[in-house]
Amino acid sequence: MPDAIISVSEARAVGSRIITFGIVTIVLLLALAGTVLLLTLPDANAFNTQVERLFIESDMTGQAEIKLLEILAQSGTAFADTLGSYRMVIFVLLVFATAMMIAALVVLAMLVTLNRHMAQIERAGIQVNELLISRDENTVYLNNMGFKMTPAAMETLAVLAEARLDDDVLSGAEIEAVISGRDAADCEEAAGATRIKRLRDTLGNQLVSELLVKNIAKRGYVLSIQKDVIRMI
Amino acid sequence: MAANCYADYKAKKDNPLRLHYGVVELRGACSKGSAKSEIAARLSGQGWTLLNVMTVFGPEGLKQRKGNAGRYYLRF
Repeated sequence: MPDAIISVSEARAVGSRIITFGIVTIVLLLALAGTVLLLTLPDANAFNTQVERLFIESDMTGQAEIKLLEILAQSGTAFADTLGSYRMVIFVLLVFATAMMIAALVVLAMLVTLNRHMAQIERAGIQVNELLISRDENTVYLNNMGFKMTPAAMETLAVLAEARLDDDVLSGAEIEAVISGRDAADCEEAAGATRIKRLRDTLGNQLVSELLVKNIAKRGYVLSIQKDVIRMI
Repeated sequence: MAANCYADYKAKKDNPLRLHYGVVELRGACSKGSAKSEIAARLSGQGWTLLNVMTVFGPEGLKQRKGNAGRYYLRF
């Protein structure tokens, strides 16, 4: 059974290949249509040759008849000029059509990519793209949503943020040690766990805080966000 | 030998298309074949192209063709 896994980068490569292929197809099709159109439009001399043939084959020799044939040829030529301007209009429209179809294709491809992106975001739950810790206001801003914190919770969050910046995972005892200033060996794991619990409670929404403050079994606690979104005032 | 030998023909000029029917007096041989090249040569001097030579005839046919030929009656 073939592997059913498709990586995102692979899908993107396939997508761009489809777009290139589509654009080339559209341009080729419309170029072909334009060429056929140009070749099948009668040229100015078509009318003249017809009138000439008529003149040769018939025995119209009267002056009035010949004059009439000349006028016929002239009106044909005038019509051919009109066709020339039509040709111009048709070409402008073809160019527009090409542009529109390419735009539609690109937008379609963008929609597909966006949909895929949206699905990823939905799976990830919330995406923290900014975590701003303001010590003065005792407030933490998540994606520009401000959450009022207690000083203790603030302390815990700051410690976790600093640890995250250093790519560290802190155990409960270590958190307690940093905050209280004692040695980690003298601190209890439970004290740190309580701080984490209070921080989550303060943040209110269990779901959101579970997503934000992650517990790695047997190792400790870490903020589950990208390093570069953390800012402190 | 070509005295009193005439031919009527059709000719054209391009851009814009102009047509005429005319009558000429032949100086060369009195036949359709030789009349063709002779008339073509004479017309091309004026920018006309010979389309076809219709008939070769004697002086007795001149009168009936005079009206139709108009200003191209014995012009070239």
